Amino acid sequence: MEKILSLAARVGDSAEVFHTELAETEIIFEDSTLTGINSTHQRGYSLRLRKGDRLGFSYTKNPAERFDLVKKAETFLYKGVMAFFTFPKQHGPVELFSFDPLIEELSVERVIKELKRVCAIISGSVQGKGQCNSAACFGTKLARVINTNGLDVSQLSSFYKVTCQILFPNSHESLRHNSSDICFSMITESRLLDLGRIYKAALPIVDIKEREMDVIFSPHAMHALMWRLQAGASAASLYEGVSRLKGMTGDKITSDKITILDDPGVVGRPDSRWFDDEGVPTSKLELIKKGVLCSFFTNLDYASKTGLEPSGHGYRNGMWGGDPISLQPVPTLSHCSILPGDKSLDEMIADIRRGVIIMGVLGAHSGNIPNGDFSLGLNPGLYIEGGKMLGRLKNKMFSGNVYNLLNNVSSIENKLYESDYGLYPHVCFDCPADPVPALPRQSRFGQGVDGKSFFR
Amino acid sequence: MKQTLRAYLSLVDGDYADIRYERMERTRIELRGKELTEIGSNVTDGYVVRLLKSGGFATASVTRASDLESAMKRATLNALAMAGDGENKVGLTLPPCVEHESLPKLDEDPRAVFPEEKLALLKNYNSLVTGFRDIITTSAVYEETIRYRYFVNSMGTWVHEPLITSSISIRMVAGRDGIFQNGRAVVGSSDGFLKIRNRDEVFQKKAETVTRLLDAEPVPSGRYNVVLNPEMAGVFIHEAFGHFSEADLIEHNPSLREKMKIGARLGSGCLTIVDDPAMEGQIGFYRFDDEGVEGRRVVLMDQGILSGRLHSMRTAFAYGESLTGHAVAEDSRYAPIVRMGCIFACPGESGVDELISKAGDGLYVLDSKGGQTSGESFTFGAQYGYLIRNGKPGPMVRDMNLMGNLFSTLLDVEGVSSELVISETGGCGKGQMNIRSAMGGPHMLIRNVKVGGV
Repeated sequence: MEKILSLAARVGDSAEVFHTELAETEIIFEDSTLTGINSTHQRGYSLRLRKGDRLGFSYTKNPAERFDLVKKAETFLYKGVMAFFTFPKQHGPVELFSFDPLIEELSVERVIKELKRVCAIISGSVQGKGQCNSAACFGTKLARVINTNGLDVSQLSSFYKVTCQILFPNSHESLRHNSSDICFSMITESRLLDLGRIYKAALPIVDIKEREMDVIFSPHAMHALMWRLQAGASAASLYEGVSRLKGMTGDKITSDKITILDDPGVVGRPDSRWFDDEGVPTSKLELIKKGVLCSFFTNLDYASKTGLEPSGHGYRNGMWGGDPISLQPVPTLSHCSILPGDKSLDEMIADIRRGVIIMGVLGAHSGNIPNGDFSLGLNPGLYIEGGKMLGRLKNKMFSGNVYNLLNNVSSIENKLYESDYGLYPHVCFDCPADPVPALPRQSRFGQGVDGKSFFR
Repeated sequence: MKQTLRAYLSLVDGDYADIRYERMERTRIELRGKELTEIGSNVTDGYVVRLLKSGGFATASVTRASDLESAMKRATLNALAMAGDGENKVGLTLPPCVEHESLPKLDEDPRAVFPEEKLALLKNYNSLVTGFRDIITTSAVYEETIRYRYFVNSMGTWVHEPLITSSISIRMVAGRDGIFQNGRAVVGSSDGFLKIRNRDEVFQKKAETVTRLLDAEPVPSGRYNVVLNPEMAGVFIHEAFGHFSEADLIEHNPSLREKMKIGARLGSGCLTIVDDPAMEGQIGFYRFDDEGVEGRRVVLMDQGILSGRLHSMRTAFAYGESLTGHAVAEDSRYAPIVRMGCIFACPGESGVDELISKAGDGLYVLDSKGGQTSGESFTFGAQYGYLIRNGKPGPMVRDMNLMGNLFSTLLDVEGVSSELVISETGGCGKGQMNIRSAMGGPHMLIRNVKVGGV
C-alpha cells in the first residue's frame, strides 16, 4: 500500500489507498441437510488521486500492478471529474474489540454441528410442518486506509453470523432469526423455540376483507421503510435536490416515539468501525430524535458539495452488492437502528384488536423511493385479532408513504433484533379509519389518499 | 493459460474438479445531473476452484495465483467435511469434454471506441433528459463489462469465451411542488456498441413520460384485468415462474418440488415459456456457461404444462434430468449458480389493441421497476400505466406494484400478442448480480391481478 501511495504522490497533489481483505467460509443447510460449503479469500486495493480540483480513481486485486493502478487513476484524473474535499488527517486508534483470535481456530465441523442442532430444535418444534434452512458465515475482515495527509488507520474484525429460517409450505416465505458475534456463539434454544411457536400459530391461512388495520413492522421488514427515509436523509439526495427532507432540520417529521440513529462504535460487535472507508472517524449520529430531524449523513464528497461536516458515512457499498474495491465511497448508513420502546412484543400484540405483523416484504425496491411511497407484498403477514395471532395472510399488499406512517406510531418494542439491514425493534403503527391528523408541511407529503396506509 | 490451469488442476485429488480463472475489465462512466463523477477502466481477476470428493462438493475462490494451492486444500477439506456429514451425497452429471474458444460476434467492438466518444454519447443522451424542465436530476451510466473466462476441468474440458456487455442507463427524477416521480431508460447489448448508438428516442420518450407522471393520479388499488407491455411481461415471467424453474431454488424444498413436477399444469393454454441463452443478438447470450456446459434452449412451459427446468451439473444429477448449461457466476468471487439465460413468453396471435379491448375495464401497465419472488408469491413494479375503460386506454396513472401467485396468476393469462421483445438489460440479484439475465415476451393480458397503489 505504501508503495502505491508513494507512486501516486508523485503524480498528484494528494492520494488515498484503501485496502480490504476478506477471508470467510459459508456453510449452508437446506431442509436440515448440509448442501454447501464455500470459502473465499478476497483482497483488493482502491486508489483515489487528487490534483487541483480533479479526482482520479482506480482499483486492482493485485498490488504488483501498482504502476498500472496509478496510471489508470492518472488517466481518470484528466477526464474532468471534479472534487473539492480533503483527505482526513491521522486520528485514533479507537479500540472496539471487534476481533477475537479464536475465530481462526473455529472448525467447519464445529459449525456444522451447531447448525445441525439449530435445525433439530426447529424441526422438533414445528413437528414436521415446516422446513428449516440455516446458514453460518465466519471469518475475518481487514479494512485499512492510508493517505498522503499522514492517515494510516486499520481495523481487523472477526465475525460469526448465523441465519435460520422456518419456511412455509410451497414457498420461500419464512420466519427468520439473525445473529452475529465476533466469535462462535450458539443460538439459545429458547429463541429457536419462540420462532417455532410463532410459526405454528402462523400456519393457518386466514382471509380478511379489512383494508385498514393496525400494523406491526418486524425488524426483517423495517428496511422497506428505512430505505426511503435514508434516501431523504442522505446528503447526496440533498445535493441533487431530491430529498423530501430539505430544509426540515429541526422540524418534527415523525411521531415523537421515533429515534433513529446510526452507531458504528458499539464495542465488541463484528461490524463496528471506528473509521469509514475514507478514513473519516465515525461516531454515533442521531438522524431523528424524538421525531425531530437532527442530521443528514454524508461522505467527504457530498460534505464538500453541501457544506455539511463529514459524518463518517462514506462506505464502498452498491445498492445491489458489487466488489467493494470497485466502488467509490457513497453516503451510507451502515449501522442503523431504531431506539427501543417500552413494550414487549407480546404486550404489543395483546393491544391489537385487528392487525398484521409484517414479517418480511416483497418489492421494497419497486416503489417511488424519493417520494417515500411503498407498495409491499407481505412475505409473510401474520394476522392478529383480539390480541391473538390467528394465522397468516396470503397474497396481501400494504401500501402507503413512510413519512405518513412514521407519524402514526403507537408503540415500539423494548428489544432490538439483528436484521440484514440494521438493528430494529418491532414497531406498531395505527392505521385509523379516519385520515391521520395533519402533518407538519403536510402538502409536501400528501399523496392523494389522505395520508392513509392500506392493506390490499 | 490453458496449460497453467491444467497444471494447477493436476494438484487436486478429487472425483471431479474444475478451475475458472476470470479477468474482468470494467469501464464505467457516470454523470449525476450534469456532473461527471466517474470515468475509467479497471481490471479485477481471480480463481474459483470446485471439487467433488466422496460425495462432498465444495468451492473456494481467491484473488492470487499464489493462493490457489491453499484454495485447493481448503476446497478439499470442505468437501471432505461435507462428505463426512454423510446425509447428502452430491453427484454431478458431467458434460461431454470439449475444447472451445470463441469470440462474440460484435457489430462494433466497444473496446475499440475511445472513452471520449463513449462520454460524448452518454452526455448527449443525458442532455436530452435534463433538457426537460421538470427533470431535477439524473444518474446516467455507461457500463462496459468484459468477462474473460478461462475454464478447465478434470475431464479435459477447456473453454475460453469472453462475454462483452455494454449499456447506457439513465435513472431520472422529475419533481414539482415537493412531489417526485422517477423512471429509468436503458439501452444495452452483448453484441456490439452499434446497438447503443442512435437511441435518442428511448431517453427522450422516458423523460417525457416521467415528467407526465407528475400530473398523473395514483392508481386506485384493487384487482384489475391488466395488459402488460413486453418489458413488464418479461419481468412477470422471470419472477412469477422463471426463478422456480431454476432447479437449485427448489431442490431442497420438498413442498415446492412436489408442486413443480414436470407435467403439472401451471399456466393457461396460451402460455409457452422458453429460456434460450444461445439465441443470438440478445443480452444474455453465451455458448458455454461457467461450468463448461453448452447452453441450450429449454422449453420450460408448453401451453401451460411444466415441461422443463434449468440446471447446473449438480441439479441435473439430483433430478435425473439433462444438462441445460445454465450455471452462471457474477465474477471471480463466486462459484456459479443456476440462472436464467434469456427467458421469454412465446408470442401468440392477438393484436395489442385486441388485448386492451378484451381487458374491458382494466389497466395497461408499462416498463418495469423491478420484481421479487418468494416461491408462491411475487411482486413486480411498473413505471407507469393507463387505466383501460370500455376496452380503450384512458388516463395515465402511477405508483403500481402488482402481486401474484405462482399457482394461480399464470392460469389467469388470457392472451398474448404476436410480437416478441427481449430486454436490453439484465439485473437479477439472486445471491449474485447477473447483469445479463435477459427476459422478454409479447404483450400479455392477465385477469384479476392485485394492484397496490399508494
